[in-house]
Amino acid sequence: MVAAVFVAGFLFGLFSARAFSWNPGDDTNVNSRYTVESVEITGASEARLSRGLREELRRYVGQRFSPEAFARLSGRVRDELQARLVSPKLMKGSAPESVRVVLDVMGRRVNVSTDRSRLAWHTRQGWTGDLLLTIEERDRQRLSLGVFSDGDTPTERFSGAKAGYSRSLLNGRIRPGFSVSAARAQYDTRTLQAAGVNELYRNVDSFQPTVTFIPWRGDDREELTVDVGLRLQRFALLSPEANRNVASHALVNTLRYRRVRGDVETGRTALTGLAALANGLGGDYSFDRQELRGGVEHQRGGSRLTIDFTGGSLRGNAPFTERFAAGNTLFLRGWNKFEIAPLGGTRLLASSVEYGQSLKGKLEASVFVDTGSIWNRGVAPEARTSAGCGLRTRDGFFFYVAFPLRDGRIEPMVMTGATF
Amino acid sequence: MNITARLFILAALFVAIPFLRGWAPTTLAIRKDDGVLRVAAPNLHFLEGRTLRRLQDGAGLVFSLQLSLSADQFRTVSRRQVERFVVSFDLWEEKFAVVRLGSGKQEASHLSREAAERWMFDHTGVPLLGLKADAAHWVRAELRADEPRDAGGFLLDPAVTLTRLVEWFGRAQRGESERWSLEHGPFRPAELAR
Repeated sequence: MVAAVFVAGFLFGLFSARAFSWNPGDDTNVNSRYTVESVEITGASEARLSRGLREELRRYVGQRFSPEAFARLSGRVRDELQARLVSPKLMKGSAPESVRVVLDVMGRRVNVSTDRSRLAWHTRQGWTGDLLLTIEERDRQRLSLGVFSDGDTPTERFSGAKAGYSRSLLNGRIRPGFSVSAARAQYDTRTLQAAGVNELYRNVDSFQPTVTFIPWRGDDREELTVDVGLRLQRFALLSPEANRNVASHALVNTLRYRRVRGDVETGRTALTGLAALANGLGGDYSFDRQELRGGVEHQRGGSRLTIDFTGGSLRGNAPFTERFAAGNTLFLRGWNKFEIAPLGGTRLLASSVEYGQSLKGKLEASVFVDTGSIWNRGVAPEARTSAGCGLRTRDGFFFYVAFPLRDGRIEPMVMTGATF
Repeated sequence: MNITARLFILAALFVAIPFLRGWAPTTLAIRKDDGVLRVAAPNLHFLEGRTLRRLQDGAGLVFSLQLSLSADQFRTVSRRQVERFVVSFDLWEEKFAVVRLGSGKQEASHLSREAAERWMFDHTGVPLLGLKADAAHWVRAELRADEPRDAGGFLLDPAVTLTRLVEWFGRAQRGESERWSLEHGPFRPAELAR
């Protein structure tokens, strides 16, 4: 608990900090007396911006140039395009005393980032860390290296190293690549007691070649992505027999959809969807796995409403890694996954409704209700509900206290962490 | 010396003058102005290179000028004065404008590059009242370009993420911030020319 408070304090301090900056007012720039003739964007397609932001940029045409306003707009353009830097430049307009504002969007030619890294602590599960270092040559290739110890997302603690490489073709519309990982598993005693012979594994090595297609991009941050690939895995089983290795090969297809409309001031709605299919192709297992996820997030001013749902089904003889887990920091928050499904489940239905209200700056107070069920085929599902509240920031920090809603004792779960 | 040799030397000087300008010693000249110590750095040119390009892109850049007085060669500082200025470049008139910030805000426009540089030094001074007129003193002028790094001269409010922190520290180590420091001394306040 002390560790949780320490980590929460450290991460909160890190994520609520604001970089020191000082901005001269409009009246200190001699060019603020000139009229904006046009606002242009270079280095990125204007179509990738939200309609609201594009309209706002257009509204400044015909007005006096305001350095402060364009500083804010540059920040919003940078956030929406996820660019490294947006540098506003002024140029003489075609008419006297007019200026053209050019927002130059710059990505790094070689970008090093820790995006998609994660650190979390959970009352029952302890630490989870996932550090992923990505080195990306803009619009060409991407290399990622990472280490992880995930005691949260799967039923087992899954620790190891991973690496990946992908190349970008046709303006990023086709990205062939591969990923490799080597991991070791550790189990809770309840999982070990519930498992059958040869059900659990000690180590797993994975190799996954994938081709990602982007068949369609809409005009307002809409994108459809299709991943087609193979997953080749070799497991060393946790078995009394020495060196008992088995293999699992599967065809893995994923369809993703994302759409973002509007902006925060007037109302921003983000819609995401994912459908993933894995079909065993050979080896020692034969299975079919389907997973469906969807989410809607609506943000307006200081209010945010998020609704997420997930459903999954696993049929056949599948490796332990394919099973679903709930009662972690993602699904049925507040429940203990080792209590409700120590071996995970072959069926999952879960949903979450969360409301957040901005407190100050990036800090937000939120309340949520999670509901769902995890069960195995042939067993009647039991619906479970949990509720919680906490603090989070827009940058990814969270501190939640969640309670399972049931008769009898109340056992709060504390979870804190951050995504980078 | 024949006429060809003279012409050759003249041509060489003509070519070398722009380069020699950068070699001139950057000294600090001091004077007393109505009980206030003022400094001038006629050979220090800081509105050039990348800074000048950013100004020509329409950015307003912030400069801090600090004058420090010491009676013991800067083991201790007896007096200090800091002024902040915003410099911008008029795109249509191709002249510089400077605004001194804070209480008693002052501004000047239609300045040449050298005049804009000089204006900042002329509008920064340390009061001499109360100093021992016959004691030796040293003065140091420190100039720093404070422009926001992340925005091409405009403020952005970068969200603090691990990636951004790594970038920020990386830039700080490379020393992108521009600073100049000049000293003069020893001098006695009683001997200062008006």
